[in-house]
Amino acid sequence: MNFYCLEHHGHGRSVGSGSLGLVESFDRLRDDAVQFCRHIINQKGKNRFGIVGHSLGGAISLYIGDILQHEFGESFVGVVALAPSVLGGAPGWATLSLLSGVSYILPWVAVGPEEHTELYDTGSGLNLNYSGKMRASTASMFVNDIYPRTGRLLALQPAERDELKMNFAFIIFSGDKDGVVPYKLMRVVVEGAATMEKALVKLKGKGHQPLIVEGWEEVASKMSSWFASRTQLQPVTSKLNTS
Amino acid sequence: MAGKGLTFTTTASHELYYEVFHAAVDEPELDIIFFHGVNESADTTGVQNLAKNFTAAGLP
Repeated sequence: MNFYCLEHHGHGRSVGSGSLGLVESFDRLRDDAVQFCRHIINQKGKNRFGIVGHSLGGAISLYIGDILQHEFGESFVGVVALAPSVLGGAPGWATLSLLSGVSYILPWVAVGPEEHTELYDTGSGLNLNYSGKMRASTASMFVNDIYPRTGRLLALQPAERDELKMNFAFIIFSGDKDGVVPYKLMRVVVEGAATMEKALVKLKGKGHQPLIVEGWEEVASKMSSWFASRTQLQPVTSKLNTS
Repeated sequence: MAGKGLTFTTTASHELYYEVFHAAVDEPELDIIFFHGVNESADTTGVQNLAKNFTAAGLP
């Protein structure tokens, strides 16, 4: 299988006219992601495809899955979401209002938690991972948009939702030591999904970044195995051995 | 292990960068599209670890 990684707007080499770490909106991230999938799949012809997302990318994946299922049908295998940040802790009303105001007037201002890029940067020297404090518009996107939006939607029956029905196959991996996107919130997401083809896997002893710590190979293999089981594809070496 | 860098343009005329990591098989039948976390990029050990694992899995 081929593996594609999109750099979101405001990120990496997709910064454009904005600043590194400055996100316009969750809706734009979602729309960009859908268009990217169309771009890749429409040039590949008959290939099947699946989505993998981590944290914010996991949230995007769960939000676009219904669109992809509707548009691509059986070509769309499903979603693997690792610690998807669809739900999370939110500050009080006063802080939310202040953050909303600041993000409207000064969206680039650094107000959120510090990013520790030294944990995951490849050391290439390209400095593509935003290393300051989270910018106001980006922080506000989580606590004033994604988290409350997901909460409102999950309070409805799937058929009543205009998005996030989650009527497609998916699996969520969640570390039981994840303080950013707690495992208990992932149970709420899975229970609220319309599909019956859903699963939640607890990663014991893992935090929010299971792919950069000891044991990442096992986590990655579980993720690729899910696609193998969904597609019935066999490793090429196995095919050769049995033919 | 960085991938091959490419760009595509959205209907809103935004140019976005992406990387492709090619499968270790001749005719891949499955494409995996990855979306990274906030403030990250394709230049992370997490992305490169996952790409390495997926492309080396031997799946067509």
